Amino acid sequence: MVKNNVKYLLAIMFIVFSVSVFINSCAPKKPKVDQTAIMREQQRAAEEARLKAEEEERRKFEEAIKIEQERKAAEEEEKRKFEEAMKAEQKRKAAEEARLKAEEEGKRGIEEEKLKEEEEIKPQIAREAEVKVVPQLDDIHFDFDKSDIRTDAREILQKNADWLQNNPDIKIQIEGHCDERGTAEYNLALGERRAMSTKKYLISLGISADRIYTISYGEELPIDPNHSEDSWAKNRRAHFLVITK
Amino acid sequence: MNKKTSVSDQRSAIKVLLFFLLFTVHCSLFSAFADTSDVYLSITKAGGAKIKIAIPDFLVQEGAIDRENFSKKSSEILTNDLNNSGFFKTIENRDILKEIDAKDKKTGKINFNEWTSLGAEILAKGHITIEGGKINIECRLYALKSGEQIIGYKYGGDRTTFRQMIHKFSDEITYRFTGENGIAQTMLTFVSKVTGNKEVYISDYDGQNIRKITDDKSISLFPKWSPDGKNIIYATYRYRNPDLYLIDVADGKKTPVSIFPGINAPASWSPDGKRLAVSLSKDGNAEIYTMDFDGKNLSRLTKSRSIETSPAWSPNGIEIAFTSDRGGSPQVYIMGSDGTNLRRLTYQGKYNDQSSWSPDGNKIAYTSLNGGQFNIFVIDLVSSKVQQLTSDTGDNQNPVWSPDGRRIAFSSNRDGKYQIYAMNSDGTDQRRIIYLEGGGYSPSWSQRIE
Repeated sequence: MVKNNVKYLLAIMFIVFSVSVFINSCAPKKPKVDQTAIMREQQRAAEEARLKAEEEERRKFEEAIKIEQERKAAEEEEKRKFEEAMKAEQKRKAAEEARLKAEEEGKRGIEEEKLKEEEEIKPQIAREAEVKVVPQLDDIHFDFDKSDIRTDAREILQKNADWLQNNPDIKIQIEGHCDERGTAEYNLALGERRAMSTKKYLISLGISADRIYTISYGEELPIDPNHSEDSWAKNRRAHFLVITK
Repeated sequence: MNKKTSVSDQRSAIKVLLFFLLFTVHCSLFSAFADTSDVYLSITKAGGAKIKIAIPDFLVQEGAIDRENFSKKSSEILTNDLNNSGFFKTIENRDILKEIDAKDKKTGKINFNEWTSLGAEILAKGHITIEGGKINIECRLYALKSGEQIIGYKYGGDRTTFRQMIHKFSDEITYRFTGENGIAQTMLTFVSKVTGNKEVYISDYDGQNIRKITDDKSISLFPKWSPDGKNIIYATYRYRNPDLYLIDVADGKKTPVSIFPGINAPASWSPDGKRLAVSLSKDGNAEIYTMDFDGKNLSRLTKSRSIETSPAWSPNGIEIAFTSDRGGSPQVYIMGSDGTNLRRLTYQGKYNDQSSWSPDGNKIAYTSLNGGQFNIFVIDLVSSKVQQLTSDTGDNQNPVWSPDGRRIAFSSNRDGKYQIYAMNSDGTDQRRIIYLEGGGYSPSWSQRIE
């Protein structure tokens, strides 16, 4: 009997063992698989959350930059507007000053207006003309290496201009001359400048540019061939001739 | 072992011997060459000691017209040329030259020892034959120490080219000793009032052979040789305005180049002879422009209220020097030939003008007005160092370089009227080269005419 019991016991144990093996091999596997999936799911969720957070952060950062840029642009625009306004103000002021100065000059004389005309006047030549000296037109004189109209010359030019106003059909030739104390090359240009500044002065006194021809003789035709301060002063001149043909 | 060593010893001994032999042969060959030609070059390069040359009167065939004159003139021209070159010193005692030459003629050979005893190192001899209008000159140059002929040439021409033939021989001699062409065949142009009016004249570089080439009966100014030596550009008042004209030297034909109202001068040639830099006042005041030599393709380079004049094109064509008073007084400036890269060159002196580039482009000579007197200065473009070349000799103006850069021609009134002078480029050896009653102004020196 004992032997039988043992057999039964063994049989039961076997059955129990088999059942447990069966249970172990089938049922318990499922929950284990689920566990990993959940962990993965959790990890993914965490990752997504992190990415999302990062994305959000970046978006916020970019937004901040954008806002900063917009702010800066606005500031610059403001600054530009301000500068423009300043410039406009300055321009207005300059214009006002120029106007005032022009008014002032208008009261004092004609200096400023003359300069404006300078750029436009070009030399004219009377190639086929015949010329003669008339006693009514006097020479004017210049300082060494200068072509500006001296005070003593203004009077003479006024007189010459008056005569020209009274003789509106007469055309004249102005010759620019230099003394020998300069190079022939430079004096050619200086004589031209003397003739031109004389012409401009006459224009400013109301004489038409069409009536005035100019030519530079540089240092080639001195009126006084001597080599003294006196002779040089005489030779630095603008000479007036009437065109007869 | 011992045998081998002795063989290799023998071999190396032979090698040494061979090398020594070769070396010796080489040396002797070298010195042999040196004795014939290269030595002449080295004489001049060693510290500027001049080569002493004997030039007896040229031999002229019996019975030729004007025999005496041709004989004397030829040696005179050559003597003057070689002295002018700066490389040679001629034997001055003409009596002794005549005596030894007579001895040569008598014995029918050159008595080299006698010539050497004069202190001469080389001897130039010429033989002239005249047939009809044709003149032939046989020119020979001898090295006295070795008794060898260095060069020999035969030139043919007539009375009008007589001087040119001798100049040519002189340039050959200069070339032989310096490796550089001489300037004896170059020419000058200048202005003179011989007729009462300023007209343009030309002459040989030595001031001889003067010819008037304009007859404008007006005022002619600033003549400048074209680089090929065929044309001269100049300013004339003939048509009642300072216009720029081109004159063909061979036939005297004149062509207007720039005739704008106002000034059209002075002008300067580009080194290739294709363009001109000119000062024009057509736009109101004198500015620098460039144009083709026929006046086309005008281009404005400066724009200012001041005077811009005296353009001078650099020898490499890249730059133009000019005078401007934009800083308050006339000073020399330099800009690119397109008007860019403007810079001021002169700071010394209150009135500087008439700049002229040395042929190597390293220096500019100019005129400076100081204390009421004009003098010639040279500024080094690299170091900016300024050197005064003339002083205490009246007024000195319009410096122009010879094409070899060794001489500078200029005009000076040191003897009364302005006349044409020349000096070495360091200011030494100042000599009048032209004297005319009508004076001499504004010289221009031609390039070597090929």
